[in-house]
This record gives sequence, C-alpha cells and structure tokens, in this order.
Amino acid sequence: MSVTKRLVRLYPDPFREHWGTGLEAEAQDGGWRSWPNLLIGVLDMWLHPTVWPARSPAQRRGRAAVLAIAVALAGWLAEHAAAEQHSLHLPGLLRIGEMNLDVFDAVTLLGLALVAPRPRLSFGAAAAMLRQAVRRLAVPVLLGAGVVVTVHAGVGTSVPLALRLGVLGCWWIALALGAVQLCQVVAGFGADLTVPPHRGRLRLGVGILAGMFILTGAVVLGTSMVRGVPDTLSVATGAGLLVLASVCGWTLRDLRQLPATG
Amino acid sequence: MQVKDSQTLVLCALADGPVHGYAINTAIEELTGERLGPGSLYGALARLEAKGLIEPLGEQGRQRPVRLTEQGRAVLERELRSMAKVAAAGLRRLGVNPA
Repeated sequence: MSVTKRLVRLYPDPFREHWGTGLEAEAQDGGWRSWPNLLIGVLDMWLHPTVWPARSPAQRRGRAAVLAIAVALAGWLAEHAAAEQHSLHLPGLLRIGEMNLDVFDAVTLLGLALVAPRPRLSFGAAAAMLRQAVRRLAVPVLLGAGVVVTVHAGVGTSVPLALRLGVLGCWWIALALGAVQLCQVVAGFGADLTVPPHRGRLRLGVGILAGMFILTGAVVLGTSMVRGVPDTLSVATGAGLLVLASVCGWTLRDLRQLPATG
Repeated sequence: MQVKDSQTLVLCALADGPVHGYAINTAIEELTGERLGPGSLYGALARLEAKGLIEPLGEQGRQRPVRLTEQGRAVLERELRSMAKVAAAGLRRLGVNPA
C-alpha cells in the first residue's frame, strides 16, 4: 500500500467514506509534496469531529460530546498522575493538593454531566447500553479490581520494588484503558439508544471544561516556575491542560458555526 | 468574515454551478496560480457542508459533485463585497486607481 493510501486511511471513517475517493485522487496527483498537507488534514479532522459528514446536526453534537468526554478524561488522568507524583503542591491558596483535586474532580463531573448524551428511557435501550458497556469495560474494570485486591492483600514496602511498580503500572493502564473504552462506549451508542445534548447544554459543558483546564493549567505551570528549577512533569502537565483547553475552545467555535436547527 | 481563505476560494469555484473536488481545485488553480493541498481542499469542503453553505448532489461514478446552497451564495456575495471594499480602500491609499 502506498504512503498516500496509508495517510488517507488515517482520516476518520465518516470523512473517508464521503470524501476519500476524491481526496486520494488529489493526493496521488500531488505526490510526496501532498503528504504534509494530508497529515495536517488528518490531525485537523480528528480535532474537529463536528465537521465530519453527518446525517443531522444532532449527530454532529453527539460527536462533539464524545470529544468533550475524551478531553475531560484525559485532563483528569493527567492531573491525577501529576498530583500523585507530589509535584503540584503549593503553599497557601494556590495549593493543588488533595483538597483542590476534589474541586477539580467536581468540576470535571459537572462538565461531563452536561456534555453526556441522555439515555433513552426504555428497557430495551438500557439493556443494549449495559451490554455494550460490559463488553467494553470488563477488561479495565477487572484489571483495576485485581490491583485493588493485590494491594489489600499486602503489596507494601516489604514487597520488591519491581513488583510494586508493576502493580502501579497496571493501575494506570486500567485507568487509561477505561477512559479510552468509555469514549468508545459513548461513541457506539446510536440515536436509538441516546439523545445528544442540546447545543446550549453542550456549549455550557465544554465551556466549563475549558475554563477549568485554563485555570488549572496556568496554576500548574505557575507552580513549576515559582519553585526555581522547573519540574518537567509539572510543565508537561500544565502545557497539556492548556492544549486540552484549546481543543475545548475549537469545539465551542465549531458548535457556534453549526446550523441552529436539528 | 465568516469563512476562511480556502473556504472562500472553494465557494468562488462553485459560483458557476456544481462541480466535484478535482474540478474545484482546477478552478482555484486558474484563479490563484496554485492548487490547494488535498487536506486543505477536502477540509474546506467538509466545513462548508457542516455550515450548510454547500450540499452534495449524489455520487456520479467516483465523483461527488457539490453545489452552493442559497445561504452559501449569500455568504459568498457578502464575503466578496467585503473583500472588494477592503481592496478598493487599500488601493486608494496607495494612490492606485481601483478600477
């Protein structure tokens, strides 16, 4: 398979199904010079799911909801991973310690509640959603449960460091896998199972997530600078949170440009 | 302005009637001297369709022609008038006759 074909295959399925033939013909004509533009196009499309070809504005909002959920979960993971390294502690009001992580979690949950599609209230829909959720989430839940059982069984300081690190790694793999699978679960629910959020609610939820990422990203970056030698993990986390805020901002702009009806 | 440069070029290429992606890029090449990259061209088409400014006509073989909607025509006219106003003002300030 040629490089051009491989690059075209990186586009999201709905985009490729609609525009793939013309895109590939145009790229073949351009030869290797078109590859950077194709790559930028791939990134652009994955960051803007509302512009993928869709049957209705509701389907576009559903895709924006999945992106917002993915962004919220990525931010939650990054923030908790950094906090567990004990690298985000600040004196006084700016302390991003356990108490402030609770605030972060509460705001994330509020944002998630606003952007999440509403389930259709029927037994059939609930059963279908449960089946899909169990199928997708079984592995990360079992892995996480296994770590909890192992820790409670006595993986303490007496156990070799390699084993403790292995258990810790399994915990974070379970969380990351769970986040990815949760997004897949929500993306897999069709219009027969869920109703995408209305534009106003979706924009409010994405706006709340954006505001939180800007605030926490700025505080984390500020913290890492205040303490003299910048801590790499804190800088990466702060910058990552600001990138997530940008993604939320682009989604807000895309939602504003969608037709209001539907 | 409501649309970006590449989107304005695509709308201009569609002003004469429905065409498919390759023909749109050929029209843009005639207009500007260079083709848009494939990612830029089809990204612009996807955005314009999402905004309701263009609509597909159904597949014709391997081609997928699109046409301007009424809203797309109105937006293009507004964009072009705005650009013409800016261009005329700029040329006047340079001491060049806009005509």
